[in-house]
Amino acid sequence: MPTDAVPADVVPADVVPTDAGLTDAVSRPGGVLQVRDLDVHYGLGRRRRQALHGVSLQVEPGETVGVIGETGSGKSTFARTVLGLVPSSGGRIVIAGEDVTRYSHRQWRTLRRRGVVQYVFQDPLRSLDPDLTILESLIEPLLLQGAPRGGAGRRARALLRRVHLEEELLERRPGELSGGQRQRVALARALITEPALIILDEPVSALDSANRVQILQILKELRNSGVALIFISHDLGSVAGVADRIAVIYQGELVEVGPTRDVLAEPAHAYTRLLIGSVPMLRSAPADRTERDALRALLHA
Amino acid sequence: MTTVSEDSARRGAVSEPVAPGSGPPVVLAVRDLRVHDRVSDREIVHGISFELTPGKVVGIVGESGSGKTLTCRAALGILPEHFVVSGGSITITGHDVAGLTPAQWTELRGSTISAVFQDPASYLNPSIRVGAQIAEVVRVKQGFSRRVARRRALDLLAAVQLRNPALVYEQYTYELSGGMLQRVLIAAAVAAEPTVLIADEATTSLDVIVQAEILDLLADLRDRAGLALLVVSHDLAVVAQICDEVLVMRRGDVVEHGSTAEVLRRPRHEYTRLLIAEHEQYGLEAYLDATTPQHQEPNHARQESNHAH
Repeated sequence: MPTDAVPADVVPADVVPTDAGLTDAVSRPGGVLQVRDLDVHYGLGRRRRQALHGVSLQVEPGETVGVIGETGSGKSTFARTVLGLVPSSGGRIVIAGEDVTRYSHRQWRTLRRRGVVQYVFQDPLRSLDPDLTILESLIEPLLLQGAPRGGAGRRARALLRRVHLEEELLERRPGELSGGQRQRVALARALITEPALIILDEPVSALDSANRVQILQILKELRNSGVALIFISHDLGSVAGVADRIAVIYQGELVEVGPTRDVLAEPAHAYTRLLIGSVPMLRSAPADRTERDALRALLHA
Repeated sequence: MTTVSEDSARRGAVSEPVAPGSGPPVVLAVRDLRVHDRVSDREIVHGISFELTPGKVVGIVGESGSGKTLTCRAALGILPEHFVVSGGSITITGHDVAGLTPAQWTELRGSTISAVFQDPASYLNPSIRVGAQIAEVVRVKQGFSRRVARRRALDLLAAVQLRNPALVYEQYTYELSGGMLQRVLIAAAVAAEPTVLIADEATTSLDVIVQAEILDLLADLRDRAGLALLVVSHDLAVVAQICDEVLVMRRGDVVEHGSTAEVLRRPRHEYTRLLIAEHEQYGLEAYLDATTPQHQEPNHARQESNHAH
C-alpha cells in the first residue's frame, strides 16, 4: 500500500525526478542522429500541452538504442518528431550531419524519400499498401528514387532472405500474410534503401511470443550490419536483449540513459526501478513489495 | 497424458477433502470437473480438481482453448449456452452447486464467489458513472440504503487504491485508464465481501507496472480479508508471482498440478517445460540470467527442453 513517507534508504535523493530533463551525458561529434533539448507541444491555446521536455539523445552509426516508456510518456512523439511527422517547438535535430530542425514539409518528404531514416510501426498493415503485392511494396522506395526495376527486384529477394521469409511470398498481398510475416516485410522494406537509421515503434508488441522471438533475433542480426536502430517499446524485456544502450522517457523527459547492462543492473531513476521491479519473474525472487510501494508513492507524489 | 498417474497421486496430496474441524474450511472444491460441448458433442474439460481455502491462491495456466476459462465459468454458474457440466462436482462453501436454480446462482454470485475478467470496460455501463454502479451492487447484494451504499462504494474505491475515490466515483468509464477500470471492477467484485474471487486474465491487457499493481492489490485482499483466489492466465510468470499452487492445462487436461515452487523447479510435463523455456528465451529475466552472476543458477528445465527441440 502506498505510504506517504518514503523510507530514506529505499530511494536515494538523487533519483527523485526533477524538472530538468537529463541530457545524453557525453557530447560526441557526428552520429547518425543528434537530438538536442527537444521540446514538443500539442494543441493550441489553453489546451496546449508539452509532450517532450528538453530531450537530448545521440545515436552512433550501427548502434541500437532502446527507448523505454509507458503509454503517453512521449516515446512515440519522439519517434514521430525525428521523422518529421510532428513539428518540434524547441531544440535541434541533426540527421546524418544534416540539420533538419527547420525543414519544411516538402524537405522532410524529400529526406524520407531518400531513405536515410526509415521506420517500422507496431501495425505493419498501416505501413504496407493492401493493394500492392509484397514485391511491389518492397521495391516502391527504390522506384521512387528512380532505381531500375530489375535491380530493385534482386535486392528485394536478398532482403527477404535476410528477414527469413520465403521468396514465394513476393507475389502475395499483405492481407494473405500472418502478423509476424507482415512485420518482417515491413522491416525488409525499411532496409531496402540502406538507411543509416531505422526507427522501430513497438515493432513486436502486437506479435505472439514465437513471432516476437523471431523479429528480435533478426534485429540482433542487424546490429552487425552497420545500420543504427532506435527500438521504442513499453516492454523492457523485448528491448533488453537487442539494445546497446537504453534511454528511459518518463512524462515527456529523458530521465535515464546508459549502457543496457548498467541501466538494468543499477537503474537510477525511480520509474526505471519500478519498471524492473514490476516484471514478473519465474525463478528469481519477486522484487521487494515494500520498495515497489515506496517507488509508486514517490512517482505519484 | 504421461503424467496422469503421478499427477493424480500428487493431486491427492494437495487437495484431499479436509474433514470438518481438521483444517481450514474448503471454500471452493472442484472435483474431477468435466465440461461438455453439446454442439460439437465433445468433452472440452477432461476432469480438473483443486481446492481453495481462505487466503489460498491457486493458479491455472494454459493457452487459449485449454479449458481454463470454461472451468472458471462453471464455478460461477455462467457456462456459455451449449456447454454443460457433464461430470464431477463443484462445491462452494460446502454446498454442491449441481442443483442450483438460476435465482440461487444469482444470490451466490457476488456475495460468495465473484470474478474479474480481461476487458474491464465491457463489464461496466459506459453511460452511468462508475461509482453509482458499485453502489448499486452494494444496495442489491447487501440491502443498504442509497446513502450507506454510496459511502460504502467510496470506501471500496479507496480500498482498491484509487488515488481520488471521490473523483473516480463521479467519472465515466471512458475517463479511466485500463488499470483504473480493473480496480473499479475489483471493487465491484469484492463489494459484497465474497469468500472466493476468480481473476481470469485480469491483468492481460495491462502494462507491466499496472499489472504488478493489480497483483499486489489481489495479494492485499488475500492478506486483509482472507480472500481465496483463483488466478487464471496464459502467462506462467504472472501465476508464479502470486499463487501457492499451480495447475497447467492443455487441451482440457490438467498436465501438471503442484506447489508453484515445485512445478517451476521440477516441471514434469513437456508442455510445462515448453512454457518455462519460452519465458527464458527473451525478456528481462532471460537477459539478467545471461548477464548477471547471481541469476546464473543451474536449471535442469532449460537444459532438458533444449534437448527436446
